[in-house]
Amino acid sequence: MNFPISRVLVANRSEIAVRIIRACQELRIESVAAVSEVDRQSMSAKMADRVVCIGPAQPIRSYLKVDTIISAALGTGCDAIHPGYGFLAEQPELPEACEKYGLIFIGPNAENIRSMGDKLFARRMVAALGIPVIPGSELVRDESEAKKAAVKAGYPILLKAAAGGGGRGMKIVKRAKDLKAAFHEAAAEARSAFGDDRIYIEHYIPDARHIEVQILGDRFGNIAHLFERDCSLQRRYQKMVEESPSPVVTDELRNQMCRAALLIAGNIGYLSAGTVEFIFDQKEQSFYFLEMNTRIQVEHPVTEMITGIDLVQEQIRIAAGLPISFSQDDVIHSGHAIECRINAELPDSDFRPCPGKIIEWEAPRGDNIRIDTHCYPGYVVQPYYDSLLAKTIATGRTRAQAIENMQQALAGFRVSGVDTTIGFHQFILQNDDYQRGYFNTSWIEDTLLEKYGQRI
Amino acid sequence: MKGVTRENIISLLEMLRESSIDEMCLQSNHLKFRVSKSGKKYDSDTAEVISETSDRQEQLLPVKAPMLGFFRRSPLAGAAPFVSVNQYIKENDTLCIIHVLDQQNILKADFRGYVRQIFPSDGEMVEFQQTLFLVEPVDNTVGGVS
Repeated sequence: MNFPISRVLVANRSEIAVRIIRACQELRIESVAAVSEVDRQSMSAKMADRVVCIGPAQPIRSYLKVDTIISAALGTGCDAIHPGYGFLAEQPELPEACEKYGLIFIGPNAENIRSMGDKLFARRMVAALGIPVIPGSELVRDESEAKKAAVKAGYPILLKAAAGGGGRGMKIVKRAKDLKAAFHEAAAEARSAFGDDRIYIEHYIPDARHIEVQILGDRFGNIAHLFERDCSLQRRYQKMVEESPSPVVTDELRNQMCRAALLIAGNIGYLSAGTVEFIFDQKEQSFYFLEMNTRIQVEHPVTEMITGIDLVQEQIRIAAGLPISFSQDDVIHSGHAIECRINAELPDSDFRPCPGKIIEWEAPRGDNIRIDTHCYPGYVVQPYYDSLLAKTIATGRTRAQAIENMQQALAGFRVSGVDTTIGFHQFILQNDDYQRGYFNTSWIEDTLLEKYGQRI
Repeated sequence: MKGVTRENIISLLEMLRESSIDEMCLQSNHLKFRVSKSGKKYDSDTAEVISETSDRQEQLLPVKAPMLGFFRRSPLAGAAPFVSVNQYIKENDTLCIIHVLDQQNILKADFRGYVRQIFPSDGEMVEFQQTLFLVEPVDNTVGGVS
């Protein structure tokens, strides 16, 4: 069979654009970097075989324009588009437009994205498969419906946007008297973030781990899992550190979660790379389906490092119509991997983003270190986009070794010109509770931030 | 530097030899003169004669693509183009269409002048902010189209 992809339009920026271009190079596929005006000098622009300027800096006028992205692909002779994560990655309109104009979308089909993008539909579908979902409600239209649903779900509760993601539009309510204000705030936030103010209610699990399972599906109906990632270290629902395997997941639990993830993905005929997210209640030792992300995720390198499987290359091969290149039995996890997301933010100032010009940029190197980045000396961190500078991935035979290697890696960074979260990550890594694996999704905000503020 | 003499060039070369400069390039409307101490050779085409129009060239205003899309010079295939080289245009005259899938975006002039150059060919994809036309304005008080 002829490989039908010879040139890929990379419809994204930053480290993920670099990551995709590298995968293309390894597969001997040409790449075209679609860049906004301020990204003309970016690393992905320098690496790609061709660069095409799609619009001004504001994403709404460049990276988020389906028509422009399609035109850029057609005009540069691309046969496929890789959306990366964020921007258009989970907009069903892009794979639909690709199909209409004879382009290959490197990702799931529009139906996969739609069914999982509707969080309530996903909940119902998963519950029907006999997989536990967090006790909660259907949509609540007003305050009085919210009150009833909250009692039914049981306080504390979480208000969530039906169209949500990334923690926006989410509010924890511990007591009934706080519900009214929180409900209106959540609806307003959901309206401004997603243009959709529909809210539903879920029981809130205080001592929770965020555990997710990486899956891959192909056009032949094969679905494989690549084990779990523990992404419990979050601040305002933004992941900061991820690792695999999870220190709290037993073999039996891993088996159950991975089987559940396969069942969910298989049920919707899932194509490409995706992630099934679960909440693990540490007190009750039970897990619940949270949502499915229909894209390659930021933290995918953690899985790549413990399985040796290149997920972006698999995505491209699957999009080209090939089967998954391995069978489930071939997937073995060996060792431990941790990822720290290094952002251009000021931890001492409530993690305020600090865009600006990077003067000095030296990233650590080593056998047990992987750096996914788009930064270089002289690169200007733009204020229009997220503040991720680099993903630092450290591996080790054991978790303790991986932690040690990560500490060495973090100490090896030389960065000036912008503030970074490196120091905060070092603070996490040296913490006893972290080292013992004792933490949950609110640990950073409830415990660690205060300690960080008091450090000498 | 009209009417360069042999003496002019010799004194220039002497100045260069005595200076710490390795290479110099002198350019006027009619002449481009480039010398190097390192013995570097230049192709004949790098020493091109600058045309008479270069003064005017500097006054030409670019009309840039406001979006990425496909450049259409005429409303329909085979129809006469909206504008041709040396054509006089005024405010609100249609210059071209930028086709983005199903949308036709009409690009209009916002100043008067003569179209001196058209860069993309019909049907070519143009990028955001790519220069499409060079226009010689008849009234210097107005800016270019962006």
